[in-house]
Amino acid sequence: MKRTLKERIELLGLNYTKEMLIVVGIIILFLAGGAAIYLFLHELYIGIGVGVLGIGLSFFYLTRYSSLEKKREKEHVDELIALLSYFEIFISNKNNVYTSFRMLLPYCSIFMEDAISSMLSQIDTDKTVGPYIKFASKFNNHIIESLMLSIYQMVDNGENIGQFSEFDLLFSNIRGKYQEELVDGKKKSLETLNSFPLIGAGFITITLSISVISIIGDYINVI
Amino acid sequence: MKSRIVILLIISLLAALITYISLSNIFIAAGVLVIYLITSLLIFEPMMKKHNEKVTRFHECYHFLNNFIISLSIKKSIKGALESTVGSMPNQFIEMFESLENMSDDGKLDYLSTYFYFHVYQLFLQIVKLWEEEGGDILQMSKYLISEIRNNEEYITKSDSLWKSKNVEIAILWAFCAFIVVVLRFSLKDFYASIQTQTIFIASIIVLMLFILFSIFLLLQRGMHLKIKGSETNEKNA
Repeated sequence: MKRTLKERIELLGLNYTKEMLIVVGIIILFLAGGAAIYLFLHELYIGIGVGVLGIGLSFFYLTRYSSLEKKREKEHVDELIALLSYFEIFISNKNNVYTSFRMLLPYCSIFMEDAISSMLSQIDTDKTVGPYIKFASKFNNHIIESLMLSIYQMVDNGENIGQFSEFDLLFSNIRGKYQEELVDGKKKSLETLNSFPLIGAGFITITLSISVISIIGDYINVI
Repeated sequence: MKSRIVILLIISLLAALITYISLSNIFIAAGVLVIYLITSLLIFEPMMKKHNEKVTRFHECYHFLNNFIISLSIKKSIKGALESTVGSMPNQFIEMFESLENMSDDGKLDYLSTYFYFHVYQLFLQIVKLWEEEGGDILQMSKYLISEIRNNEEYITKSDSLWKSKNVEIAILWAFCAFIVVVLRFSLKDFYASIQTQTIFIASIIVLMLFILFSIFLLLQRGMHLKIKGSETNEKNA
């Protein structure tokens, strides 16, 4: 189902009117700046450039929702994997699947609390795999689907130790990868900072070059 | 004086010194020093303090839970386990714990959830309550909890060592950048005197100094971000 921009913005927890006002504000500010440059400094191309930059910035602002959505989805998957560690603790202490999910609620974010509560209320009326699949579909991730199927199999087979071991094996692999991903993610985010000193050095070299050229220009004019 | 404040002071002084060498303008150098000091003391120092507290608290929590569970499996009583665990904790913890002497042993354990604010501690309390009600092998009951705490501890240790090595790497790269400015200052000699008076050059040095400050902020923000459930009080509203 394709969502409208308004729905996407609101699903991200942002205010649609406020977001639109920011976009319009950016465009008006840069267009006014461009007009002022043309009127007071008589620089037509710079004025047009500033106006185009404003439109470009507002377009960039509007396209950032996709990356925000991906980030949010990743956060939800990360949270669920962290919560399934707790679920494993509850299950291993002789709680059933239903109770273990209920026991997760105090540790959940609002999104996760809604998702788990909704799944539990569906389980009350539907004893098939349906509620588990529906819950997994909220995460758009096939690993979560496998985990939920494994949990359902545990319920379907009378929550015996053999089924728990299967879940444990599957989950410990996923948790191991998740743990590595956490450290890798941090490494990548810190590595982007390596380019900052290079940008700084480049910036100062360019400025010095411009300054030297303008001084040479002044000397030539004097001669 | 705390080492992190000394480091921030040295960075601020170096930034002011490089600005002065580049522009030979004491007022701009003083301005850069003031901006660096204000940012360091109002933003960076509290960030570092909060991070250090969180990491130390988690190490303590890891140590406490491990020792308590092992002691409980041997002594089979909360009182005995608490006595032998608290003795091995840092002084700050012992002082805080001694102020709880009027509480029952269960009350003390419950109260510690305000000190160890992580979710793993809440899970630990649930397991201890279950053990008190139904008995059983505490080591077996807390097998997955211990594994979860160990995973978190490993994650914190790896993240911290990664961040420290990046600090050194990025500091060396910025030192090279500053070295370029200083070398040009002395190699261009008389020519540089004309450059120093140009507005574009003055503005670019100020921008460079602010950019360095921004990169320090990002380094701290990204390096100190740790995903430990329960450590952020506003996590519930995320």
